[in-house]
Amino acid sequence: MQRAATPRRLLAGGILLMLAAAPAVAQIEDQLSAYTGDNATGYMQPLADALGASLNDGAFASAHIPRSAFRAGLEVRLMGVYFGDDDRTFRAGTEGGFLPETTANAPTIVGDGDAVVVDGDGGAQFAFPGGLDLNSFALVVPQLRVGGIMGTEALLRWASFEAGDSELGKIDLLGIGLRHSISQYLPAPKFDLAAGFLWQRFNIGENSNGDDLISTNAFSIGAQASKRFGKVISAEPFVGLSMDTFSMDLQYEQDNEDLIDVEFEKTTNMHLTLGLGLNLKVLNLSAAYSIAGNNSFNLGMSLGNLGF
Amino acid sequence: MKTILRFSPSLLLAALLVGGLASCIMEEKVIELVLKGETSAEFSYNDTNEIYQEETFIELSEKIAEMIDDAGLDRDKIASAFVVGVEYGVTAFDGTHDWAISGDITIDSTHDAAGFVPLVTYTSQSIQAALGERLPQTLQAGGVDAINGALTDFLAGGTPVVTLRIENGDVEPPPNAGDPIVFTWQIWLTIQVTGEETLDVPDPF
Repeated sequence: MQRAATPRRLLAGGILLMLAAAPAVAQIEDQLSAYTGDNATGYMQPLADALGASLNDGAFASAHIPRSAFRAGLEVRLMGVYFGDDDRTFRAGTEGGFLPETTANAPTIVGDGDAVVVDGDGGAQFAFPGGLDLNSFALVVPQLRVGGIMGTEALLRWASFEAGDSELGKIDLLGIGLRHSISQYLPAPKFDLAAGFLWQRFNIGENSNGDDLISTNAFSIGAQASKRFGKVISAEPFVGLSMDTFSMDLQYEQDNEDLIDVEFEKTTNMHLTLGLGLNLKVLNLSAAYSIAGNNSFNLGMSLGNLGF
Repeated sequence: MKTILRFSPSLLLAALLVGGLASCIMEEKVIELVLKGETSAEFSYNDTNEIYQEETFIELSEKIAEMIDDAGLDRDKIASAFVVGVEYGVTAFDGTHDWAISGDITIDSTHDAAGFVPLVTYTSQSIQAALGERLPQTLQAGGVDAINGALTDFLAGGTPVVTLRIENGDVEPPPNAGDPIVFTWQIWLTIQVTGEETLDVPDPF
């Protein structure tokens, strides 16, 4: 249900624009308390996949890095993933001594909001918790790009937020990237070519023990090409090919105060990005689509002199 | 000033993009929460008689109140509370030799006058095989109804007292003064609470 934009909602939305990766974090731990092991992995897997796809996206919108002309841009990147029907349910098994042991198609974290209840011996019941009923996931990150020094460019992604006792908990994102112009070494390049890497650590929420609820690490290494058309205002199609890795760890407390540690399998994917940038003097806009383990898209906006 | 005016269309466009995204990013969703809780009781035996009986209170009301408080839910948002399962296991055993025990775990709740009703019947349970284990048990309808009734009574504002009783009927080989049966076992009761909560969650597209 869409609600009208009030000043309060705009303010909340503005904050959430940077924190969109934390959908009702407190409820995630509550829902997870019903699960251990494979159930917890299955419940959270779509969020892990979406986080991995989003984090490893939006690192560039151009391969143009001057050899020696200082460039800087303050950027906001929105990386998004649509969830498919397959993401909405997983095969879950009963826990807690429930008999007979039963499996059912239960909602994942992005699945239907209704719980699924199965009946057991003697009238016992087991409820598989509902999801957050999400169609999409978006990660919005601020980043600072500084380049044009010996054909090299540095990228810093950073966001840190502590929301006290609110549902959001805390957010802690740190990303560091480095790219180098390859085309500067070519005699007469017809397009710009660069190569580099981006490492990121993204922690979301706080469990009952005061530790991170979700801890992730992402790394991407690859090459990009782009070509500018136009002088004062330019359009710039770009393409990138990279190898991405992503790992995620989940730590939450169960009712008996045991800390459950769920380590998701580390994923490695090839990642093809196709996009178009628009350089409007101090404002650069870009849009791109990525084909990887989970397809994603990103929209970017940069203020600075990157387009010059 | 001239610079500001020159750049203002770009800045306005940027502000519109951020503002537009902020206003459409949140959606109201109704989520069915499921809370899982567990309470347990421990019984220690040092007996020479195969027929024995022991009972203890189960802190069911405290448990469910704690679960609801921890989740920050109001009691009026709770839709249901019910038994998920019962497990037992032996936590200490002298290990001189194994015993096979048979009997019933019964339960009584003050919310009704039904008295003790069977929850679990165990037959020829090896003490050795249960050592360090949590063995799920098939539940009896009467016992499940008694616990679920107590949970419902609590949610309605009552303060039911639930008592768990072990009624052992047979031990093989029979214990005696020279060979007493000595062990400690624990019974775990798992319950779930469901309730609805309305949340604003980011769902931008």
